[in-house]
Amino acid sequence: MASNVIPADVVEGADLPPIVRTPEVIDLVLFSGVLWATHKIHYDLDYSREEGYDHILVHAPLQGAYLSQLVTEWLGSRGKLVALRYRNKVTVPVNIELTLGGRVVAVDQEAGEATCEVWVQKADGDRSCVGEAVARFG
Amino acid sequence: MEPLISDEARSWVGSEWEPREYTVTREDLQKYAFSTREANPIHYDPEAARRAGYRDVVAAPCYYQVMRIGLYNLLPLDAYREDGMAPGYDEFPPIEFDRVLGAETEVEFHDDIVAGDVVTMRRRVADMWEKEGRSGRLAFVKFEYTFTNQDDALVRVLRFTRVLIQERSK
Repeated sequence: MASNVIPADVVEGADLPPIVRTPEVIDLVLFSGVLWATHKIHYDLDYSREEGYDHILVHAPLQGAYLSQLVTEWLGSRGKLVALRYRNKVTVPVNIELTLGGRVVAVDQEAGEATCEVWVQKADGDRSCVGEAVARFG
Repeated sequence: MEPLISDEARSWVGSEWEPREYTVTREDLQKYAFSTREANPIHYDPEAARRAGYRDVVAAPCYYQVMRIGLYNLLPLDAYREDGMAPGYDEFPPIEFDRVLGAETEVEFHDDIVAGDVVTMRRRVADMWEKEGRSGRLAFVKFEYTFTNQDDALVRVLRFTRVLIQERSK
């Protein structure tokens, strides 16, 4: 668990420490199981090909969960994720390295709240998921 | 041209499904935490959670996903369609479309969800609109889910917008 972010460091333009994730087949199978998310594109390659994909695909909500972790890991135990908004833009195949990134875009020091731009970026530079998070710090 | 969203479809705005209840167990929270590679032990270790001031293991922020999807999908396997989806998972107003995608997810995180809680999920159609897209005509349907616990405290609010795509050739 990361240490708490220092409020003085929460300034416009500050980067959130990136996190790298490479979801493998086991990640997708377990996530499907836990959610009872039964769509076959996440675990059945033959079926996924029928829908026109070359791979099985990472769940959109799994990327949302990763984005929440980007923010909570940055905040540490004293902070709280207040809101998260995101859009999934392109599909993500299994076994691809994803970098979760974010940047502070607005700060209300009095309220102790920051708005951050957040994203999931594939190795080719494409952002598969983009959004915004509101975080309470300090 | 006729609007994609008819008056009949539009009348779905404001309509609600039956509320569903979900009992949150410690093991369910642990499974969700591990499957998402959650690093913070308060989401899987009861001792770490208690040291941090929680009654028991506390849910990771996006744990509501388990209820949003599982509560409608939890059916015998023979009930699933060819694509693996459960009938009733995606219930849409009467709009003619070729495919459906997720558009936007907006979540508010309110009170904590802790092992032992009984959460009630309510789902309603919050809004609907249409526009022309590159690939065809698009109908947006915004669903709002509210999650409250056994003390009627609000724990999460989700606004999930789906886009129904009617391909250009139609």
